[in-house]
Amino acid sequence: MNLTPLELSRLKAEDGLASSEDIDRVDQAGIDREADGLLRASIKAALRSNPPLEVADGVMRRIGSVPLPLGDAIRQEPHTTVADAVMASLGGGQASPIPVRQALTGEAGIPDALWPSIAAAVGADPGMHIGKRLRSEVEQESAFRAQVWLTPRRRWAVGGAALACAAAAAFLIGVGITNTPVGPAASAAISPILDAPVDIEELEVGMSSSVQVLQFGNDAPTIIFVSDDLEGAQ
Amino acid sequence: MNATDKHPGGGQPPPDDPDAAMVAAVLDGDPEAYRVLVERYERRIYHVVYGMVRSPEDAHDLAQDAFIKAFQNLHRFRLESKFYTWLCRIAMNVTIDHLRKQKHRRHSEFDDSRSGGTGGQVVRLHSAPDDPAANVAQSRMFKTIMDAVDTLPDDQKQVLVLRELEEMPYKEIAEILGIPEGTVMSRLYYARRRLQELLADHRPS
Repeated sequence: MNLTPLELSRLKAEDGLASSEDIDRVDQAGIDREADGLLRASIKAALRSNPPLEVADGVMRRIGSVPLPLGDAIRQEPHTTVADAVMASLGGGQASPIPVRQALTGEAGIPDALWPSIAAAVGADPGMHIGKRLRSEVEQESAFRAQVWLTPRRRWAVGGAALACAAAAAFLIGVGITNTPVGPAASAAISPILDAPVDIEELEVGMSSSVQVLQFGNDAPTIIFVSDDLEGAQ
Repeated sequence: MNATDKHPGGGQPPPDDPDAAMVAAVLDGDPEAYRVLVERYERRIYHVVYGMVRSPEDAHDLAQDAFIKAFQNLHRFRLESKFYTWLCRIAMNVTIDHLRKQKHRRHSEFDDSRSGGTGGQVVRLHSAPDDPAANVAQSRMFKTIMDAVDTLPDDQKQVLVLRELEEMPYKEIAEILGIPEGTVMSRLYYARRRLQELLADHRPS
């Protein structure tokens, strides 16, 4: 479909290619050249508003050229050993700066684009973090619920709890099993051992049983001793 | 087919063409030189393809396919022409093939029966990078525009994307698409008028 002279002039005006004759023709037709220019600017801005994804690594892999060959990377470091590399990755020793990590990550490419396809395969929402989904699945399958002292942040507390158990058991054996409330005395005995304040609360739950609650602090685990027949702590 | 199977079909590269040396290196058996070309043009090709398909994943895959196809056919590239023009033509062909095969087409939120539009309507974008509300409005406006672009026929969309995104001259667009220059101009003109109609009622507040 051919353009009329007016249409041609308008097109050229939009693209900054118009002669004075074109401009006159467009203006005489009552066309708003500013509006045309703004439309063009808007389209351009919209088209450029999409962030690009990197494609170079994918292309180079598919044409058979590996970005950072691991073999070459190792060969370039003739005096390094596996132990050196391990120590380097652990941040200790006088390790040679072997770029194993860089070589491996370079060889693997940029993983960002992988998740959408993985998400489709595992039936997940691409926006969902896979770790969260796996944790949920594991918890559901094992009927396990996260325990505070098993979280990485509080692993130290497990050691403390074990020590406290031993101390508490030793104390209870030492003072004997009686109906006498032992909380204050136990606290006084255990605190110096742990070098930390210890609250022991004893709950009377019946004539022949008692419950003792040990709390080392806000972030520490709670240890509960239940004695059914007052013949031994459990 | 490998890029190194044959040497180029003759021709001298333009003296100031920075791509010529890389193309020659690839053809001489150094595939790593191709990375330079890929990194030089990946963003432009991605944007051009994205403007056609409007899917980041599809655009990524199609851009990648275009580069690989170009690599595989590099021996056919004639050095006297511009590498990017040739690459862009491949990308357009790959994209058009994809669109033809694609059975699912997005539904337009625009009413095709809408008529009118004398060309006097204004689409205004207010740039306010520090204003979150304005940024949201701008994002919405971009989406509206892209939705409108999406409703264009593929042949008009091709011309529009190459002209607005790449600012290519009519002649180069004609060369890439293999159509007369006059056809480029008429497609571009009608694409813009169509967008002006569609966007007339979508002015940002």
